[in-house]
Amino acid sequence: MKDMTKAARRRLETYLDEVKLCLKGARSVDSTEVERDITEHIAQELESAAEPVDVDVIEKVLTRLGSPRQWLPAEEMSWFRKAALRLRTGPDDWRLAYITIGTFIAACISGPGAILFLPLSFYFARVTLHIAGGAEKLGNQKYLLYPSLICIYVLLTLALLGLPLLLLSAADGLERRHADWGFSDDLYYWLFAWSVISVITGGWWLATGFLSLRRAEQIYYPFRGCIVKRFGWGVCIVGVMLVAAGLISIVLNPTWAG
Amino acid sequence: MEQRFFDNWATQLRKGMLEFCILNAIRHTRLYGFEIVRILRDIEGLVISEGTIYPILSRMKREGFVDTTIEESSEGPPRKYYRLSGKGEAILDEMNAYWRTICKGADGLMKEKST
Repeated sequence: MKDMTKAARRRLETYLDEVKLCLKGARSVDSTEVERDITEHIAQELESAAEPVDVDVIEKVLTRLGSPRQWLPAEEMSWFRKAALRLRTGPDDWRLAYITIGTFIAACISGPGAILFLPLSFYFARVTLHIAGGAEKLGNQKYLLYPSLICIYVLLTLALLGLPLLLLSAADGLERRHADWGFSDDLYYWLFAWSVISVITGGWWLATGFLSLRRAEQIYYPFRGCIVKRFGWGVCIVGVMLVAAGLISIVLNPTWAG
Repeated sequence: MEQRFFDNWATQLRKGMLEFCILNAIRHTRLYGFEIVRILRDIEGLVISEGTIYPILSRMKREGFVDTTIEESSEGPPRKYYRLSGKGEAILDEMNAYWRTICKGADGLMKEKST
């Protein structure tokens, strides 16, 4: 074999490792013989190349040879072997997608470990989407990313929508001072507190729903279909209803009437 | 959608054609692996991934359709030459006859459509 640059040597070694890995255990061919043939083929292709052979020259030869994963009939490999190969090889590989689903499963079975694994899984899913340039370019890989994405989006949405409920503890803390504000009865105070919380929650939901409608693509990437839109509209409508109910309830509070 | 259909169809067709063309390439002469690749490379659209040829040659050797001999070369490492075996010749005769029949039928269909 001709003298090569370090990068070219490394690329060739990676390729030959992939060849070895793909042919290992194949029943219909003599894997050692095919490996030797491939090495000879590369040597003959490089006969006229200038030394040291550059990585670009090697890349052209390897591109023509193609991915070793395509060389054997699909039925020759077990599903387990195919999965293992996808994890270990190739530029069009499924490694990140498998890591995503792997960390998601770890999050599901590890109990408190979910605090670490779930965000990690979400991060891998978004990185995979970013590298591919969109879910549509990922083919079936996208289904390995969806569980962690959906899980995080649902949790995020629930947390966002439930945020105003924190005001309940504030209302509870202020309960002792209700007489200072003119409330003659605990009931009237709580009626007022719930009305204010309803207005704030409604306003918050209205803003959240509006944001979902306007920025669905960024927030729920890569989901942006009618479900997200319907959800946005639904939250907006409920938000308006909560604001209206809260305001009416504040106005009709018997404390002001008395 | 149409492109996908065509790609699938072309892949299926290529699979069988590659074995057929390899056997025909060494029908009257012995060739080493790289020479076979170079010959098939000239048939446009036949070889997408050149590496596929070597496992096919290995499979054919296992099946007894081709024989190999290794010879020293003045230009580099020893070369492994492939030659059609008696069993290979018999199967290739059958394949060629089958191919002609199929081609004739398909040509007939295409001509019927164009007239």
